[in-house]
Amino acid sequence: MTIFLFKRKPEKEVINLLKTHVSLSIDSIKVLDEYIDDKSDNKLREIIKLEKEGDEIRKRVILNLYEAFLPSMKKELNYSIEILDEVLDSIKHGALIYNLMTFDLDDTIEKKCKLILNISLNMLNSMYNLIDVFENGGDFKKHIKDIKAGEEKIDDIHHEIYRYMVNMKINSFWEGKLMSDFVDKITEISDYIENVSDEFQIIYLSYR
Amino acid sequence: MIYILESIALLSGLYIAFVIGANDTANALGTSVGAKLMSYKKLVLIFGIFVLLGCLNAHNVGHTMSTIVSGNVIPSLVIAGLIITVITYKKIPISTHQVIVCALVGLNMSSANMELFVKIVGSWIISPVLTASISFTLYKLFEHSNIPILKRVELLKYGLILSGGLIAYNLGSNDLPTALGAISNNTDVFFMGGIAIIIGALLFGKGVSETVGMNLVKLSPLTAFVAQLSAGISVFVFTQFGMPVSTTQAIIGGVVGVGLTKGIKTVKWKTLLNIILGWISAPGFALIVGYLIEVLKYG
Repeated sequence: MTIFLFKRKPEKEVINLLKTHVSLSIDSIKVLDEYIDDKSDNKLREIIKLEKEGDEIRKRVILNLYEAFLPSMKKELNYSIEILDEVLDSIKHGALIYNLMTFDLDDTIEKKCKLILNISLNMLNSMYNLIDVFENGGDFKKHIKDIKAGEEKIDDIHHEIYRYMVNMKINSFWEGKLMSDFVDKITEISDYIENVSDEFQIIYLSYR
Repeated sequence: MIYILESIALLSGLYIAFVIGANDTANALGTSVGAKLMSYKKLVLIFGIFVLLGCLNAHNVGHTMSTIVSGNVIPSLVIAGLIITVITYKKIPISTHQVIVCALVGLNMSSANMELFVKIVGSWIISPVLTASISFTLYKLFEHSNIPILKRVELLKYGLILSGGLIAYNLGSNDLPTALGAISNNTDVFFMGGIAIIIGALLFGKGVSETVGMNLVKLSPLTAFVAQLSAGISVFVFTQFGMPVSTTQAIIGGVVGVGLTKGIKTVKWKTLLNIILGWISAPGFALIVGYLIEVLKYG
């Protein structure tokens, strides 16, 4: 009689895995924020470990997608988890670049970088709530708006940092390169979050 | 001799039922196939049960078809069968109902019940409009409901099976007696036709269902579901009044209804006009061919 019934609920599993992935990104950002303060090796290791865990979840989501959802949603969901995984990648690469810095990060840049991380953290919380709307309902538009607003703010801060950096005295090529790469890496976190929210928006609208 | 003629008529009717199975299965299964809900064979099994259930209610439309003309219906069915074969081969989306009814009336103009024919033509006009109204209302209801997406997906999975089942039921209770009603209004004959539909679906329905389904579901699963369910309800209503109406036309009405929820500009009126012209020209062609044959035959 199983032909008349859908045995499992892989959709719920995919949603739960996506939420777990976002939670890992939230944890990872918090650890990076602390790592900027103390440059502790343990924290770097933790960031790398979180990135690996995220990679495992990404694989599980992709495998679950074979069974879950209608075909029209699979493309967006597959793309979403790939971009979501880039968030953890960017955090890890940001931390690795920071690890290479043998000099102290300029105070103004450090403050602005921490602000970027804080806004990204809020965006990830909105992303978590956004995914929750899929399962439990709620105000989808509000979370989308929050994510978009966060990304705009970060864009502005990124520009401000560059305006500040061009007037800075740079001691060596590597100092300048590592600093700008670090800023770029932590800025692109918000781009990925926004891209994922766009994919969720497409899915949401096609089922409204 | 009478036995041979009856057999030819029955075979023509069963052939049309077989073609309906190959061609119109997509209306019922297209969305479920496109959504990859289960294997095609399992879907045909469910589809077959609903078609056979529909056969139990085939006498309404069967009665209409048996009273619209009197006399020899074999040439009409042979012509209808030929026209349907050609248009299926040419992949032109028109209604088999209209071809059958118009071929019957065209070839038997002198004995045809014109009052009933006018009623049937009226139902062809009203059915897509009724479906559009139902789909407009249903879509608005869905749009404004607060059901979470995950629940919607779950409901949609079962809904697509349900609406596909309703369309399959209509194939048995409306499409089938349209093809066979002029020959016999016997439930046993309808069951034979039901089996012919299922064989047609099994042998040739998969490709069409995949094409239609992929396109429909890709467009929007909710739109596809609402259009299909509305068409199912609309054709079910007409079946109770014994009116042979087309599911394909009803589904197009359903899609237009959903489009109208987003404003009148979303409907491609030129495309719709071309489709409507096809609805008028194909039965018109069958009517004229039937009439010309009758004129040539009797001078």
